[in-house]
Amino acid sequence: MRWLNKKLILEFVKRDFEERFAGSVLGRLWSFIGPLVNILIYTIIFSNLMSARLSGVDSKFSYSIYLIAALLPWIAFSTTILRSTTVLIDKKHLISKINIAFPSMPLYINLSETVTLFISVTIFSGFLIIFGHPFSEYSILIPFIFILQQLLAYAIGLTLAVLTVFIRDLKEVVGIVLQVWFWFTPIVYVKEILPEFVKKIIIFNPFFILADSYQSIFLWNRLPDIQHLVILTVITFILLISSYLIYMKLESDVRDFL
Amino acid sequence: MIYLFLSIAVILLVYLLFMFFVMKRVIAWGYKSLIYGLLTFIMLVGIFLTFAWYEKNWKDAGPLNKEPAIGSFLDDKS
Repeated sequence: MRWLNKKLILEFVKRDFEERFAGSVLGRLWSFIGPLVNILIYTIIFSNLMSARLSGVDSKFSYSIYLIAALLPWIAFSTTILRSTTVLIDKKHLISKINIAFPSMPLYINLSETVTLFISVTIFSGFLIIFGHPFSEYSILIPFIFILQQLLAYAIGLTLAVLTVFIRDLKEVVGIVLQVWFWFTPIVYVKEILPEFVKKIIIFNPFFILADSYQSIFLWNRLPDIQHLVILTVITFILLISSYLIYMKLESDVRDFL
Repeated sequence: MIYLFLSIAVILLVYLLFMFFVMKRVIAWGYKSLIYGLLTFIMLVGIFLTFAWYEKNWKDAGPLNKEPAIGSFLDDKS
């Protein structure tokens, strides 16, 4: 079975966007308006109303940049995992009709969320340019960190999609785990406020490495920890292979359960 | 910085060429996806290590930051 049916996956991505804004007057324009309003709100509230600043950064928008740099990727990451968890159950009518393998289903969600993330980050970068925030050569790293992030989300999403067919409660569990994961990652707060023992274990949180990398590049214009990124790449590929093996082992059972 | 851009361009070019080559070959889809994954893994690690190398060796190695050569006119002869 061809599981990498490119035309079909791209058609799914296109349809996903159309379904999201179906019936609305502005249509796909909403995919730009949503992130734009979000960024504006964070900037106005944290920089102007709350006057939140980060020590060591001489910018009025320092906290807003710190927050948005990690929050936008987190939204893409968590939404990809959450939507992938139920994709096989949600699309079981399609799976039974079209000759498509399961790994394609989380893949189209992944691509759809990546497009949304790309739009959001482009708008965010536009804001940074308007406000005169400097960019460094390390900005070239951002797309590669995005690829790593979405590969990790795909590996987790595929495993959860297969397991959720057998354990339906997983959907609720994943929602709660993602909430805990969000607050265990320094996105809203800075890692310096954490107790010493938490600082030591937080390195085992994969999204901490990603969030820290985005914040280093966008806010401080410095190179993120490459050693951590390489370790995360190795872990991501081990997870990808594991998720594929789980899918291979359970494929026929999943079809029976669906 | 030109070395950094060139290195990234070379890595991406080699990656895309290999991807294209694998895409055109008739191999079982399981193996094909494994090779795609392996190539992407090598590309990502290559890019990350290039940046680490740039930071350590190339970033401050511009012509204006070089130590003066032995016996150059900048040497203090007094």
